[in-house]
Parts: sequence; structure tokens; C-alpha cells
Amino acid sequence: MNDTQMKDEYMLEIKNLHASVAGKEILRGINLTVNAGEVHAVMGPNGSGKSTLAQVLAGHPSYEITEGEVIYKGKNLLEMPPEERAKDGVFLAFQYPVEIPGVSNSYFLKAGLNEVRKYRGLETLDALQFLKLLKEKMKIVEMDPSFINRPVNEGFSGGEKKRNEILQMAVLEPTLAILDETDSGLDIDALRIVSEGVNTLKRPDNACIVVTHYQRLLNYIVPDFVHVLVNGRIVKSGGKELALELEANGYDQIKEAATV
Amino acid sequence: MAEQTKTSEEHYIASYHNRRSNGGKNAPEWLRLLQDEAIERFQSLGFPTVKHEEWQFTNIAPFLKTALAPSTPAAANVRREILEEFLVHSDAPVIVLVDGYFEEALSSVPDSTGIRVQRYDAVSAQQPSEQTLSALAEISSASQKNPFSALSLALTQNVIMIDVPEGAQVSQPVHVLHLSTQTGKEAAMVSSPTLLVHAGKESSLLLLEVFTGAADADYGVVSAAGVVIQEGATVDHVRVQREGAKAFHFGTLAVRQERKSRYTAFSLAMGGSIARTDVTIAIDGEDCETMLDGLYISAGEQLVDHHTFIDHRYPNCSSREIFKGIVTGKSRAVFNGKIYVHHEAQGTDSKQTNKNLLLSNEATVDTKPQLEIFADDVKCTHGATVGGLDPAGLFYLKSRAIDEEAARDLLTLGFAGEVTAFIRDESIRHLIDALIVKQLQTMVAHTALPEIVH
Ligand SMILES: Nc1ncnc2c1ncn2[C@@H]1O[C@H](COP(=O)(O)OP(=O)(O)O)[C@@H](O)[C@H]1O
Ligand SMILES: [Mg+2]
Repeated sequence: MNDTQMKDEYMLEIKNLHASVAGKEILRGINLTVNAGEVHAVMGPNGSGKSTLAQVLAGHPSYEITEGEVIYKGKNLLEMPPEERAKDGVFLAFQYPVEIPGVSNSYFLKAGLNEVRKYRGLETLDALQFLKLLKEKMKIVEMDPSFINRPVNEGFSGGEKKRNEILQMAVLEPTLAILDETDSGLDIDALRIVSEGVNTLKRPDNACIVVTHYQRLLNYIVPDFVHVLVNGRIVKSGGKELALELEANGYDQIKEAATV
Repeated sequence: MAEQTKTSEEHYIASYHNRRSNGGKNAPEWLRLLQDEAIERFQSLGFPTVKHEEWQFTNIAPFLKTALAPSTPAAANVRREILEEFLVHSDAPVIVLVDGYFEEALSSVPDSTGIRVQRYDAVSAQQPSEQTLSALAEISSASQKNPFSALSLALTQNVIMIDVPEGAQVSQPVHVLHLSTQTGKEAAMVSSPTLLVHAGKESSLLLLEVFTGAADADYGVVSAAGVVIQEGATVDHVRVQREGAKAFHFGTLAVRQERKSRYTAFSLAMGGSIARTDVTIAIDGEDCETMLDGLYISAGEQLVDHHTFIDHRYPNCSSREIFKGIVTGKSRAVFNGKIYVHHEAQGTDSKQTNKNLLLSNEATVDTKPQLEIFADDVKCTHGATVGGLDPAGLFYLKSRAIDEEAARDLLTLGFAGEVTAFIRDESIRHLIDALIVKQLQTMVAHTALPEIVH
């Protein structure tokens, strides 16, 4: 295959991505390619830049891109404002979901979904239609209907916030979902529910990047590829067995290898 | 011209005496005596300047320059449709005052409502009840210090009294609508409606009071309300101030709570060029509960000012005050909330917060929470914040496909929603939320708002 043909097939192509915050370089040349239907796990020690990568893909304004490019569905992702990315199917499940006081979960989700639908050329949903859809989606993550009218994430426990992220993913039906440590702070039951939710939403035409610190989640969401991020670079990539290897040996070996 | 050399005080005092000598039958005799006292008090107090501590941030010069004439009855009939926007139900009990005058044709309070409504003016010159006098005393007491309260009482066209008999449970929201029309009038006018409320022992009342007026008319409202809540009674009081953009509004609210009573107030202030509200709550018995909440929204060159005073005189009472402000354009918001805990008021539990959302670099907020505590066994907190929209929230909303403008609107509405959530009556809460959306829409001309909400 020649280059252009390859390009058309990629959903996401990250090329030599460098990003810094407050003058400090965090991402130092990331290369990563994701195809439709794939699940990629990004693992790595704390502070290695996993969340930075996730936030940069979602368009967080605090990060400055100093080098490289990101092509998403053939478009220059980095030139799109965050809301445009979301409309076009990019979804980030935040490591730390934000509380929005005074705005109900349903207002919020309906506003987002209708924007996405407009972008996709679909009719917007009215309050009743939306409520029906929301209730179906809440079943996927086993969320109590009382969360419909509660202010977004306010007073939610850590686990409830993470479930709410997956609920949003279920409602918005993204093409590229990036889950940033969705497993952290979850007990075994919640972990199962969240993972099952993610698996239910998996389709041949969408893809998922699962950022995690632990192997545990990958027992539930089985990745096609595992990448190890250390110090702003992907230092090793492999199949799902790489995760087990990391679990057994820790990050130290890889870290050492990376620093040489 | 002689008129121009008069001070503003002289102008209003002369207006008072003029009205008096021109037939002089604006009020029954007993009321006229009170009004004579009030005008004297006004005369000795004079209008405040910014040198006055309580008026430090509120320059009323534009009001002083506009010598307003005491209002006369509206020349044309007011269509009921104008009021519908403010009605919770189309058949809710409603008392309408147009330019300060009771409007019989638009008002209707069926007997089944469970309240007695009395009016005291030239038309019905009845003797005041004991309840009327006790509610009036609250306004008189406010007028000892506040010249606008004194002026209001002196110039009032009508005194409207809502008397809730002992034990009566009034579940229908009673609407009191103050409408300023300026219809067919040459000079800019000032109306001075007086509302009295007396809730008898163990009674309960839900009251929705609205001030509104012609969008581009020059007018003034100098109003006063006196509320007495007897033992074990509950009053829920929602106030909406949406005067026209050029109007001056000076409102007094004076409340006295007897033991075991409960007063819950929510105030939405968004109109007027200068709008000042003075609230005094005298806690006059043990085991009372007070909730004084509000939201102000200012745009353009508006000045919106709230001065509140909660006076804890008795033990074991609680008060909660949350005022929020959305301050935009070149507008200025002033909040001054004083909580005074007397030595006798042991066991007081009081919390006060003022949060301001500053949406423009040219807008100003002056906030001054004041706590004065003379008892030792109390739980009191207070705080004030001024800030913009949360950038993390903004990004979160955008990451969910919501556009910049809609995201800002949603956060702003959320900011407001946090305090309107305290309005207990659901239909009133919906009404208030709808009025807020409408106001934000006209202020910022954002089209996304109705879509977000509905
Ligand atoms: N907004 C920020 N300001 C300053 N430093 C930041 C900011 N965001 C991330 N960093 C720094 O960048 C590095 C990578 O952080 P992060 O991407 O959150 O790592 P990970 O998710 O892998 O734990 C850390 O050293 C962190 O302190
Ligand atoms: Mg992280």
C-alpha cells in the first residue's frame, strides 16, 4: 500500500506530537495510529503525560502544541475547536469530571446530543424523546434515574462521576472515545459495569483509546494494542500481553530502557 | 424659573403639600396623620449622598435630576395580557396596582383564597385594623433611617393590606402586581405603593410580588412593604423587580417575625436604571427561621443595590441568606448584607453568602458582608466572591459538543439555578427561571438559550 491509501484508512494518526504547558514540554514526540474497530490501551507511570495526550486530543486550551500533527478522519484535528471535535465524534471521558453547579444532567446531555445530531444531519430530539433515550442509556451503566435531574457531577461520588462519563459516551455515540483512567477509584462491581458499558458501545466503525495505570481494566476491556508512555514518549508498543508483562515487572525496567 | 432652584427634597415636599391642599382627600384622616409625620421625617433626613455610609456606592444624582411628579391614575385601561407573563395560574388570586393605584377591574381575590384584602385610600376611608397598624409600624420604623421609606409612606396613593387570619393555610399564590404605565402622562411620575401583610398565628401565605413597567418610560417607584408574621406562621415571599430600563426603583421591605415563625424570601432584581432595595428583618421571638435569597442581573449602565439587615434579637433562631449576581456590561452591583446578633440571641445559626458572576471587564461589584456578633454561643459564617465563568466547566461543556456561546449561557443559567432552586413552590420557580432566561436573552441576544432550556 502506498502512503495516501494508508492515510485514508486511519481514523486517527498522531505524528511526532509535542505539547507543553506553562513552558514545560510534556509530550515529546508521540506517534500513534488508530483504525476503526480497534481498542488501544495507553499505559504508563504517573506524570508520564497520559492525561495530557487525552486533553490535547479533546482540545484543551491550556496546552500548546509545539510540533507535529494529528489527523482525524482525514482532517487536521488540532485546528478544530473542542466543540467541533466533539460534534465530529471525539469523546473524552475525563480523569477528573467537572462539576457544573445548577445545570441538570439532562439539560446538559440534551444540549450536547442535539448539537451532535445537528452536525450529523439528524433531527434534534425534544424533551420527551430525549428522556426516553436517556433512560435506555442509563440502564447500560446501571445508573439510578434520580441522576437525571441532579446537577452535573455535583456531589457525585468518584464512581458515580465515572459512570456518568460513560453514560455521556453512550448518549453521544462517539467515533473515537478516549477514556482517561475511567477505572481509577472504581470498585470491582463498578469496574464491571463501566467496562460492560464500554464493550456494549463498541462497534466496527468506532475506536477507543483506554488510558490506564493498571492492568486490571484490561481484563474487561481487551485491547488490540498496548502502548507504554514514559516521559512524554511511547517507548514500547505490543499486544495485550504487554500489559501483563508490565503488571509483573512494573514500569521500572521500561523507564530505565527509556532513559538510555 | 423658580422650580429649578428648588432642591429635590423641596420638590417632593412641595408635591406632598400640593396634593394635600388640592382637595386633600387622598387618604383617610388617620393615614394622613401618619403621612404628615413621614414627610417631616423625610424632610429632616434628606436624600442621601455618597458620603452617607449606606449609600457609598450608590449615587442617586440621576434620580435627583429628574424631578418626578406624584403619579395620577392611569388614563387608559391596562390590558390583562400584559400581566399574564407574571401569573403562575391564569386564575390565581391577583391584586393589581397601576401607577400606584388599586385597579379593581384587573384584581380578583375570591373568598376561597382565605385572605382578607383591605385597601385604604380616598375611595375606601375605613378605620385601620390592629393588624394594619402593626404592619405599618414596620415601615414607620424603617423610615426612621431611610428617607425613601419615609417618602414612600408620605406619597403613597394606596395602602393594600393582606390579612391572613389565624390558622388559615393559603395555598394559592397571592399575586400583587405593581405596574407602571405612564400612559397618557406628560411628566415623569413616581408611584409609591404600600403593601402590608399580616400573617396571623399558625397561618401560612405564599406571596408573589412583581414590579414592572413600560420599557422605555421615565418613571420612578418608591415602594414600601411591611410584613408581620405571628407565632408559628409561615410566609413565602417571592419578589420580582423588572422595571423598565429607564426607571428608578427604591424599595423598602420591613419584616418582623414573632416566635416560631418562618419567613422565606426570594428576590429577583433585574430592571431599572437605578434600583435599590432595603430589606430589614427583625427577629422578634425565639425559634424563628429566616431564608433571604436573591438574584440580581444587571446590564448596560444599570446600578442594582441590595442592602439587607437581619436583626437577631432572640435565642435559637436561624437565618440563611444567599444572594447571587450576574453583572455584565458597564453595570454596577452593590450588595451590603448585615447580620446583627444581639447579646441575648444565644444559639443563633446564621449563614450569609454573596456570589457574583462578573461577565465583563467594565462592570463593577461592591460587596460587603457584615457580621456583628454580641452573643458567644453562635454559629455564624459569611463570605463573598466575585469571579468569572469557570474555565474548566466551559471546556467540559465544549467537549460535549456545546458551542462556546451556549456553554457560557448554560453556566450562567446554572449559576442562577443554584439559588432559584431554593424557591419552594414549583410553579413559581418555573416562572422565575423563565423570567431569568428571557432577561439573559434580551441582554445578550443569545438565541441558544430557549433551546437549551426547553
Ligand atoms: N496544567 C498544567 N500545568 C502544569 N503542569 C502540568 C499541567 N498539566 C499537566 N502537567 C504536568 O505534566 C506532567 C504530565 O501530567 P499528566 O499528563 O497528567 O500525567 P499522567 O496522566 O500520565 O499521570 C506532570 O508532570 C504534570 O504535573
Ligand atoms: Mg492522568
